[in-house]
Parts: sequence; structure tokens; C-alpha cells
Amino acid sequence: MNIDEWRSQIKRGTLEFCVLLMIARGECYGYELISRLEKRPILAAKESTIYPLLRRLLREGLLSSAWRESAEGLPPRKYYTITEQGRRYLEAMGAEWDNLLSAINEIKGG
Amino acid sequence: MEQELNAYLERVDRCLKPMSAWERVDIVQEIRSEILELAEQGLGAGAIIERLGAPRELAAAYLRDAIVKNPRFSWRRLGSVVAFYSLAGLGGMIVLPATSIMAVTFMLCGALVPAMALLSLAASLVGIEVPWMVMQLGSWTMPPLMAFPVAVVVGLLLLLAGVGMWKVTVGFVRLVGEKRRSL
Repeated sequence: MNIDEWRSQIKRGTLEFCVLLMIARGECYGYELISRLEKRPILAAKESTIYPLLRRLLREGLLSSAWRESAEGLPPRKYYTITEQGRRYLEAMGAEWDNLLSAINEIKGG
Repeated sequence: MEQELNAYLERVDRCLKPMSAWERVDIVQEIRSEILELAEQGLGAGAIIERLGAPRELAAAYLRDAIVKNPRFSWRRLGSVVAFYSLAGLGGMIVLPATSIMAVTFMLCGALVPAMALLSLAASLVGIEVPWMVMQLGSWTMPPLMAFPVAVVVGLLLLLAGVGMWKVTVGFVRLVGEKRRSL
């Protein structure tokens, strides 16, 4: 009985969805995503997970990125935006997610 | 403090060698950006490094993703595998070199065998014998006309074996990666 193992499996399966959802609501930079995820322990993920994930989403054309100067004294940040293709993918993910939730609810309600 | 963090970034960069230069710059730049952000919030060098994890592990996460999510063969990806197994410990030091070298060897031979047979066929058509380039079964030497189709089949089989070995390589990287991945 190891609930942690199960939790990390859920996280692994849903992190991509969460990251795309967050970026779809407005452009974000990597550290911003990580610190927002950190506030919810079930979704908290390390740099070594998020940054490679972002690179993969870029490579697959779901995201685009641009380096931009930020406020005075702070370093330039790499901002991520969702692409048209990313939006379509996210929509499909959302539909599957609703599917899953209603299936689970049905089973639970038996 | 500055020095310690620069050394950290340099180590990450070194571990990322097989990736393209611009990709490495981009990766290191992004980590640097976060480091400066964390420092701005008052975190010390030690705390920052602890948060990001060992430079080898951070680099390995990028390499693993580059190998596993894009599993087609290329020399650059072979380089990534080599770099990854040097980071992944003992299991990788035995399994990955064997499978990745076999993958390359099989693929090379798979291309070479039919090419040689074609050459030898062409040579025999113009009447030249090339005694060191023949298809031999025991003491019986196949005539070049028959050797060529046989060589094509053998070459295909070798290519398939090479692709199979490459898949084993990628599969092993995935396995090691999953085991090490702690979210």
C-alpha cells in the first residue's frame, strides 16, 4: 500500500495537461509555472521535470517561446505561449479528462 | 556565491555536450534565469543548488527526454545515449554500450553487405574476379548472380536487427529514467 507511488503516477499522467492549461490562460515563464504548481502538493514538480517537458512541448509545436527582458535588475525570461495546434490538443485532452471523470463517477456511484 | 553558481551551470553545460550548441545555450540560459530569480528572493547559493539538484541529474533529465521522446536513430542521439549512460550508473555502463554499439554495427553491416554484393556482381559482369568479396557457405562459394539477392536479404535482416537493438537501447533509457524520476 503505497499511496505516494500512485500519486506520482497520477502526476506523471496529468502534468502535461496542467502545464498546457496554465499556459493557455496566459503566457508564462518556467519558474512561474513551477512556483504556481508548488502551491498544490499533488502537482508540485521539480525543475528537472518541468523544463524538459516544456522543451518537448516546444519541439512538438504545441508551444512557442520567446526570450524577453523583464523588470529592471531581473534577468531576461523565456516566455511560453500556446500555439493553435496546442489549443486543439488541449481541447482534445479536456474532452478526454471529462470522459475519465464521468466514467469514474459512474463507477463510484455504481 | 556567484562563483559557485557559475561552476554549477558550467557542469550542467558540460554534461549536455551531445546536444546542439544553441540548444545548450538556451537550456543553460533558462536555468541561469531561474537561479537569478531565486537569488533575488534571497535564497543562498547552497539552497539554490539543493533545489535544482545535482548538475548531472538535471542534465540527464534533458538528455533522457531528448532520447526517449524522439527515438529515431541519428549520430547526435547516439552521442546523447553515450552521455546518458555515463550519468546513469553501472547498469547503463554495461547494457547501453553493448546495445548501442550493436545497433550501429548491425545497421552499418546491413548497408555494407548488399553494397559489397552489388560491387562484386558488377565486377563479375565485366569479367573481373574479386576473391576477397564473395558470399561463402562453408567451402562453397556462391556465384555473384545468386549472391546479390541473398546479400540483399541478409542486409535487410541485419538492418532490422540494428533497429531492434536501437529500440532496446531507447527502452532501457526509458526504464532507467522512470526509475530515477522522482516528481
